[in-house]
Amino acid sequence: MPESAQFKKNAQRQLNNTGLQANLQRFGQRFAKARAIAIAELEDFSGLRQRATAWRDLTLANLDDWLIRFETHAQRMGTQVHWATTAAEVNQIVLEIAHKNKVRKVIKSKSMVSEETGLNAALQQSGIDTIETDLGEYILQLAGEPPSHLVAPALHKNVEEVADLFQEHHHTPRQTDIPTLCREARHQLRPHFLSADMGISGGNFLVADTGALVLLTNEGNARLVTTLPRVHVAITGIEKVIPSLDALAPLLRLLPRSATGQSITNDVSLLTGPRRPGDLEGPEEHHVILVDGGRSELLGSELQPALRCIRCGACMNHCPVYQNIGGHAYGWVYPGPIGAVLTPAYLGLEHARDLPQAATLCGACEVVCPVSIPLPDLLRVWRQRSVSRGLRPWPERVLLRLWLWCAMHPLLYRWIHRRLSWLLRQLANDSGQITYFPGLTDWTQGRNLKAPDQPPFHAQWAQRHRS
Amino acid sequence: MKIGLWITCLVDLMRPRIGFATLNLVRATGHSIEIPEQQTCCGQPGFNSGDTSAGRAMAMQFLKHFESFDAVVLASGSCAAMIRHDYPRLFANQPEYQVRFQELGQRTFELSEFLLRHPFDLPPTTQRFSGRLTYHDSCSGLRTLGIRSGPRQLLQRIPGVEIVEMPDREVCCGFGGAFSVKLGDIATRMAENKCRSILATGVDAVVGGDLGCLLTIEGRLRREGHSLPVWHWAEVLAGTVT
Amino acid sequence: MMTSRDLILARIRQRRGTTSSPPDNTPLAGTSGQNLHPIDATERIKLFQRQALAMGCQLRPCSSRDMVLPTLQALLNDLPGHSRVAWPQLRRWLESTSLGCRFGSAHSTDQIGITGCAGAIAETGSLILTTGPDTPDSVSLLPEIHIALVCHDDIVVDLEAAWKHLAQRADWPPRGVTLVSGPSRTADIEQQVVIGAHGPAQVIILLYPG
Repeated sequence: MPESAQFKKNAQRQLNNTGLQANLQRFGQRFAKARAIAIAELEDFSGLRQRATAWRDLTLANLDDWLIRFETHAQRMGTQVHWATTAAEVNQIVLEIAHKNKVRKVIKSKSMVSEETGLNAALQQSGIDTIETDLGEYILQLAGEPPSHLVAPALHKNVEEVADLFQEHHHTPRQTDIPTLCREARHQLRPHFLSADMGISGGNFLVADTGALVLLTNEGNARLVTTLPRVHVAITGIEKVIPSLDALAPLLRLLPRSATGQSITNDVSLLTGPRRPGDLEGPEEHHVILVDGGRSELLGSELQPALRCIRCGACMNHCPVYQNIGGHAYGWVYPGPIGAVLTPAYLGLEHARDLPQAATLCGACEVVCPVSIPLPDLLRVWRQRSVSRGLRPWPERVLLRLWLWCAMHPLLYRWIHRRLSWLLRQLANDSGQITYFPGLTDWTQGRNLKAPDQPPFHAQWAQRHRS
Repeated sequence: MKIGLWITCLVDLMRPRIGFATLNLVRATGHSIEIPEQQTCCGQPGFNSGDTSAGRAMAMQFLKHFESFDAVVLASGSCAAMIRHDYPRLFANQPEYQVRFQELGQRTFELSEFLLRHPFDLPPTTQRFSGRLTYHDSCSGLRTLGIRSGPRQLLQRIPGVEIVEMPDREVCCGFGGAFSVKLGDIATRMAENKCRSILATGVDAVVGGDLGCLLTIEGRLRREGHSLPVWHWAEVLAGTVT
Repeated sequence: MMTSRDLILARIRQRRGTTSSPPDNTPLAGTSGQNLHPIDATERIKLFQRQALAMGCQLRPCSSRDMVLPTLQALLNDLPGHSRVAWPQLRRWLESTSLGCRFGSAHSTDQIGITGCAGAIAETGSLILTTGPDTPDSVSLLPEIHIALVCHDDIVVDLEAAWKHLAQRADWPPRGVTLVSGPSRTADIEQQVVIGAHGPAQVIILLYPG
């Protein structure tokens, strides 16, 4: 059973993990505050957001056509385009390309889709040395852990943990100065960049009109991964296609700002095909794998807006639940509000039944989403599906039915409120506080409940009117 | 103008005083008020748990008892948001009802929205609170209805009230309806964070506009041993607390 | 047998509920959501300088094109690193001097890379670099220090103008277009920003009038 099925237990564990809590606290509102400043600098954020949303919707409405258009242009420029329905198929395609090119070493820049497919394990099992090059991903590869954030994958680790990992794996003296550690990673990884046979990247966007793959990075690693090795394979979801560079401009303005508060990432690369005649460098083969993996199922459904997602991470940066439990509690590739929507879609609701419940529906995520994904509504859609498929625990189902029945019968409702009011007063201590309530221990374990000190409003009102 | 007063189910059961404070404030605007006997709950517990049919059933009940009023007033941002924002969406497939819900939604006001539109004098009272307050922004009211400055403006009409803003003031307190009893650990931690922000202000009391949040904040403060008063802002404005 | 391609397209069409229609983006074409007011060349250059500085670039304005070589020479004298590589495209301009640089693609031992650019964007402070036989990407990527020669006339106002500028090229679309905005960086350890990750740690722009 995937970890995502154990949400409540995972969350409890993370809440009691003091190391993680300190790291989350440090992360805190940092990205949120940086974003607020960067967004305020825009002349018209809401207009820009509307445009970006409209572009994403326009693409999703004719996704098949835009994909074909991308494929046509990409092939014309010499890119080999592959289609994969499942995670297993993605890995199979990558392995075939690797074997055909006698690849022994792979360097990777960040690809969340490859996390979906467990690609690194598949490559390693085939005896292909695979090295992550994004610093955060590299740290996690050494630690043998999955990312816990879309943009800052290793935010759950502190410098001491990184120092230990580097000392252990690099056999170098232990350093705890962050710039020194970054230099060390550069020196460790540079030889791999130069000796790798194949580079694997994700894809932030696919431009249908030109056949270009768009990559955004700050570290420069994506440029190295896509320039130096003989073969470049990009793995990306079918929803990442956009019609044209016209669409790219507003999305480029929003993605880095929403993610880290940068006006643009240090590198934005548009890659079209393999090396050309006369070129001194660049891959001899350029592959793009278009991955479905459950995405097409969302089209035409109430959940379709989730496919607008451009993976900026703003929703989790602003989610009070995420900020208290971190990304691993969600148990799969995508954490936070968008993860709570996508995980049940891609793994099946029965494997992630608590994720849609993991939100107060406070709406902070929806407000900051650069492509206006109505995340609380989408969480509610999953809650509806949980109810209609009978996936909620029976006490909850019984209580809900009972509540509805009473609420539909006002006289009964009044009577129950009077009895409940009385009962609550009986349960209270001398200062009117309830500290234990059978069946409601999820509340009383961490919060008191002050009992009412009067009969219900309507009871009092009715009495006044009678007298 | 004939006003229908909606008493939220939480206020009815847990804090009837808020209901009476609301009643006094609406009365102070001089309009005539009715409190329909048949009202129960707006349906959020069902709707947010994924029981759409329950949401629709409660919406129909609301329509039946409140459609005849010129305005509906209630002291909760989240219930007002449910009525104004979610009811019409629940009837997307029944345009004739959707229109009726939209119209009724436009006539439904969270208390601060109503009081800002209708002149009133503060109800007379012997002792009104004066001191430093911090105001907790409840999420639905804040983000769905845009209630932000209204309650603050109203509270500042009271001589001697100073509002001190808390850090991270727009971060959720962790109530979230059923969330607070399904995922108690996370809810508790969120409440703990919120209480830390509140206590950092050094105020004399904390106020808010949604009882769910207030019960959460009060429950956590008391569990931690703090006696800081927690009120609905309507109680302060109506002069029923000091 | 149905290929994965057929299967995915069939699923999309089924979920979409309509038969295929030609894609059309005319309703949104040309709308960017950013209204940078038309600005003149002077303002454009100023904006570029401001944004490039904000992204962490260093600027060395030159009073004329003739001043570029002396400025570059002085700069190289001050910088550590004797292994220098430059774009073949710059050969005719730089070869006559005693800069001591190689022309071609970069080696891992090169410490300084010198490039021109295909354009620059005022809105974002970005250099536009395109790949080609005379403009290898590695020169701006492998060395620790990247020096770029940027002419005032190369600067366009915003991303849309950059696309238009690029689309006029004979080789459009080139294999690679990279918008480089400042030195590479990472914040992956405790969100502390460290300049100089896998790419250059310094980007120095020599800006000269046309």
